[in-house]
Amino acid sequence: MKRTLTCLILLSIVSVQLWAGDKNATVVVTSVSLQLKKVKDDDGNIVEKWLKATRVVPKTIIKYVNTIHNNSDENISDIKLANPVNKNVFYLADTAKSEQNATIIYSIDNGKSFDEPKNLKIGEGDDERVALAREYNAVEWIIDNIEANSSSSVEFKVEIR
Amino acid sequence: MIFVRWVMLFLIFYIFAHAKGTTAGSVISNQAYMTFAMHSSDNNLSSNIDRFVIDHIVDMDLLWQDTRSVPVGGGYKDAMLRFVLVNLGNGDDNFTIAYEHNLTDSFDPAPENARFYLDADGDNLLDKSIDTLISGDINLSADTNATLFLLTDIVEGNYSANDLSYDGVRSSSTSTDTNGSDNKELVDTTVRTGSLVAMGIYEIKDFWLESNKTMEIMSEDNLTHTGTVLRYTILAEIGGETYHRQIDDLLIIDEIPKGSRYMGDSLYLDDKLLTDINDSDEGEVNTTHIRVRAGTLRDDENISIRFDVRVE
Repeated sequence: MKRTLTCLILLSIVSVQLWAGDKNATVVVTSVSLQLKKVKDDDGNIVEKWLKATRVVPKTIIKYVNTIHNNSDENISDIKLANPVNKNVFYLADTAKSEQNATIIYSIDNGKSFDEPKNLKIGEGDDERVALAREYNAVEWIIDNIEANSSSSVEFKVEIR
Repeated sequence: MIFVRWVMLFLIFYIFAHAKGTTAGSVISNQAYMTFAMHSSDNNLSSNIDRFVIDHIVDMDLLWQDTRSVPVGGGYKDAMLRFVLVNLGNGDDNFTIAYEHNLTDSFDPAPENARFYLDADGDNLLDKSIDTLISGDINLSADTNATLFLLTDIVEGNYSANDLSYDGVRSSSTSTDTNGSDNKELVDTTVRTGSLVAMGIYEIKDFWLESNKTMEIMSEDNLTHTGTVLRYTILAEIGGETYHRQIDDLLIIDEIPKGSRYMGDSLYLDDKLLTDINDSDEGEVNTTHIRVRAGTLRDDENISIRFDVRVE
């Protein structure tokens, strides 16, 4: 009985560590939205920088960056990171990227299934066609491995409807 | 002999532009989800929820709708110009309306007693018993529009034929630019178009085309229901100094009201039944309009156009 209780406590600690909001967690994913803003650099020149989006207007391009922090001493593998595309934005073609090798696939059924763009079909019979990038409603990155005590980012861009 | 060509267009073109997208104040959220293997076990977790807010864009369009100068004469009451105001912004907005007159035009004296009516029933026709005299701001939701009727009285004066008067409307948004802190809970206003002027034209004629459109509800309870038949009648005649006047090539175009369907073989020019197809007779009907080539209208005549629609 005492041993079972110890196991349960240990299990709950691991769960807490996997929660994204815990800075000290072993594995954390953070998501941030960025927009291009004009700012002054140290020399007083106006330059464009991707800065945290706070308030934006329609047609603004937003870059979402998701960073996987592997703070553990173990490699993590078979990573699948999915990001739904909000209905008030649309995905911009060919903007999904990854810092390290990744397979990038997309969904047109709200993340129930993912596939390569050429296999994403909309309509039936004579009306069937390949889905447009702006019709994707989720993006998924498949990454083989992230080494211990390292991080890796993926990103994509959207435009506000 | 003076040849005057009039085209009477009841249907006015709306330039519908789309509003500026996602509604102001909307919160756009994002969260990523991950699965991975660690210690030979499968795990899943979620990212933080990232949020930002859509700001308010103030934008509008204001257009004169009459397709050519509106003929008037000295002493003419309720000379009407039509305008449409479109809220192209992404949020509700209030618009202040004001009369504008170009003092350098050839009208002397200028029109008087300017007032605006709002086309309350959206039929693009002024009916003072239904449409409302504008006394304050006009509130428009995003992507909606309002037809405004500017009425003036043409003062008796020493006009010459074809004198022009430029009269119109200034529309100003009451929203203001409040660019401030980056507090993501607040919505800032970005003004793209805060004020616009559209001008129409009155033209002095000693005669003009007068038209009147009426609707009759063909139901026993005099109410409209799905399936109720509505009978529209358009009456046109020459107004003003009518002696030995005529209007040639009169074309009458009218929109089939939205939410209704034209009833086949119901188009009449006076007592003559017209075919619905474009053939040798004067009438033609498509899914959105009726068109009648009424030809020449003389001073001692009037014409009436009649057609029926069914409410859907």
